[in-house]
Amino acid sequence: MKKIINDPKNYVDESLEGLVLAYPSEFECIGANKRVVVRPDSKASGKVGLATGGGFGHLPLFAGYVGEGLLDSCAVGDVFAGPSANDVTEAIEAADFGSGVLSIIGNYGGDRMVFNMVKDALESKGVRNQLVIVADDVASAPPLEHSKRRGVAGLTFAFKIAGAAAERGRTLDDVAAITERAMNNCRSIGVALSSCTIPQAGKPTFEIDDESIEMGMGIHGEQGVWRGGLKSADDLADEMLDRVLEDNPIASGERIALLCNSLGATPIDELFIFYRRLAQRLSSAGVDIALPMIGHYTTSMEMAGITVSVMTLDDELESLMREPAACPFWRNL
Amino acid sequence: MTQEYDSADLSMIFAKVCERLIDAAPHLNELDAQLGDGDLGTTLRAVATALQGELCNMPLPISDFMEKISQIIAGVSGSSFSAIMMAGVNRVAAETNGQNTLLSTQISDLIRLAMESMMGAGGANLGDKTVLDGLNGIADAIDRETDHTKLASAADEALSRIMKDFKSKPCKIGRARLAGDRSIGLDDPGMTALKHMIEAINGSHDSGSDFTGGVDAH
Repeated sequence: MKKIINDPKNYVDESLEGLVLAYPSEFECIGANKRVVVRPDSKASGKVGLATGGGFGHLPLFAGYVGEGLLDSCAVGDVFAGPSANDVTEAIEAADFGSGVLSIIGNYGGDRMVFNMVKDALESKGVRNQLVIVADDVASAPPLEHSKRRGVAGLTFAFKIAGAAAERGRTLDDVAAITERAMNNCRSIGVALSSCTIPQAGKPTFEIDDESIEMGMGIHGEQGVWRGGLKSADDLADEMLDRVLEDNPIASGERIALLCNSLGATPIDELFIFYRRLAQRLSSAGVDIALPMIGHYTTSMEMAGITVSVMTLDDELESLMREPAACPFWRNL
Repeated sequence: MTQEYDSADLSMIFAKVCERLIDAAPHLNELDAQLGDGDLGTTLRAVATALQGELCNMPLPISDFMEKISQIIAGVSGSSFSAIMMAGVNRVAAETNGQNTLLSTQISDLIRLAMESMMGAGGANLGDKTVLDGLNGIADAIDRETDHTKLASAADEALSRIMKDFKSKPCKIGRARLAGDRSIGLDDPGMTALKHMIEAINGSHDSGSDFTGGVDAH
C-alpha cells in the first residue's frame, strides 16, 4: 500500500483535522467522536436544516459539502463504512434550527437503516425530520428495481438543490419534495480503471488488471455491468451516455446539468477529453448543457475512473443550481 | 423445565460471545470480502470490544440490559449488520420491559419478534440467505428442545444444518446479490457470525472449515 498517511487507524480523523485547519471558518468537527462536521458560527436560524452522512473516502462528497447554501452537518463514518447511529443523531440535532431537518443520503443498506432508525427516534423526541435517499446509479439495478440503485455523484446535485431551497426559506416538505424531484430527473453511471485501497485493509478493494476496465462499477468497487478491455474516451462516453439516456430519455430542446466527475486518480485533462464527446453528442441531439460541471466531486480515494451524471432541469431546479454557495469545494455556476 | 437467566448470567454469556467475535474478526472479514466490503469482522470486533468494557456494569431489568447493548452498537458502528442487530435488540428490549430475569421458554418467541423487526429494518425475507435464516432455524430448534441445558447445543446443531443447506444457494439481498452465482458455495458472513456466537455459548468450534483463528490461543 502506497499512501501518504501516518497510521491507517488515523486516516479519517487526521484528514478531518487537516480540513478544519485549512478552512477554520468553513468547517468544525463536533460531537463525542468529533465525527460530525458542521459550519462554525452558522448564522442559520429558522431555515430547514440539512444533514447527511456516509462513509469516508469520497471527498469532497459528504463532509466537503457542508457550507452556506449547501449542507449544515455531516456524520462521518470510517473509510467506506457508514457513521454510527450516535454520530448521525448528533448531526441531525446540530442541523435543527427550528424548522425541521432534511437528511439526504446515498442508498446504502447501513446508512439507510441507521438514518431511518435515528429519524424515528428523533421524531418521537419532537425533532421534525425527513429523509431523502438518493439512488441515481443506473448500472446497479434495472429501472423496475430503481429503489435498489446505489447513490453516487448525483448526491452533489441533491445537496446543492436542497441547500439553495432551504436558504430561500422553503418548508421542510417543500425542500424534501424539490430534492426528490431533482433526483427523479437525475441518472448516473461510472467506469473504473483501477482499484483503491482502504487504509486499514492494506490491500486493494478489488483486483483489476492493467488492461481491463469495469463499466458500471460503484464508488466502493461494487460489481458493474461488464468487465473488459480498455476503450477510447469517445467509445466510453458514447456507451455511458447511451445507458443514462436509455433510462431517462432527454428530448431536443431540454436543458440539463451535466457532471463529469473524476473518481480520484483520473486527471482533469482526461475529463475534458471525455466531456468533449458528451458535449458533441448532446449538442447534435439538441440538448442544452446549461450547467456543465467537470472535476472532482465524488471520489473513491485513488481509484481511476469517471462518473457521468445527467439531471434534466426546469426553471426552478436551474435557478437553485445557479444560486451562489459558499463552500471551498463548490464552484459557483 | 424453565430456566431463569439474570443479568449476571447474561453478562457471562455475552462475555463469551464478545471474546469469540474478537478472535473471529479476520475470518469474518475474509468471508465478507468475497461478497461484500469485507468489514463485518472489524464491525463486530468494534462492537464486542466496546461491550466487553461494560459487561461488569450492566443494568436491570432485562429491557435496560438490552437497551444498553443497543446503545453500545449505536456508538461504534453504522454498518448494515449493526443496524439490523440494533433493530433486533431494541425489539427484545421492548418485549422484556419490567422483567428482571429472562426465561429460557421465552427465547424462541423473542428471536421471532426480533426477526420481525430485523426484516422491517433491512428488507430481507426468509430464504434470502442472511442471518435471519439462521435465527429462524435456531428458534425452531429451541422450540423443540425441552431440556434447557441442551438449548445451546440444539441451536448450534440447527445452525450447522442450515448453513450447509444454504451454502449451495445464492444470496438474494444486499451487495452479495450482485455476485449472483458467485455466492453459491460460500457461507453467508452474517450466518457465520451467528455461528461463532452460538458456538461461543455452546463451547464448540467448527464454524466453517477454514476457521482457525482463536481456537489454538485458548
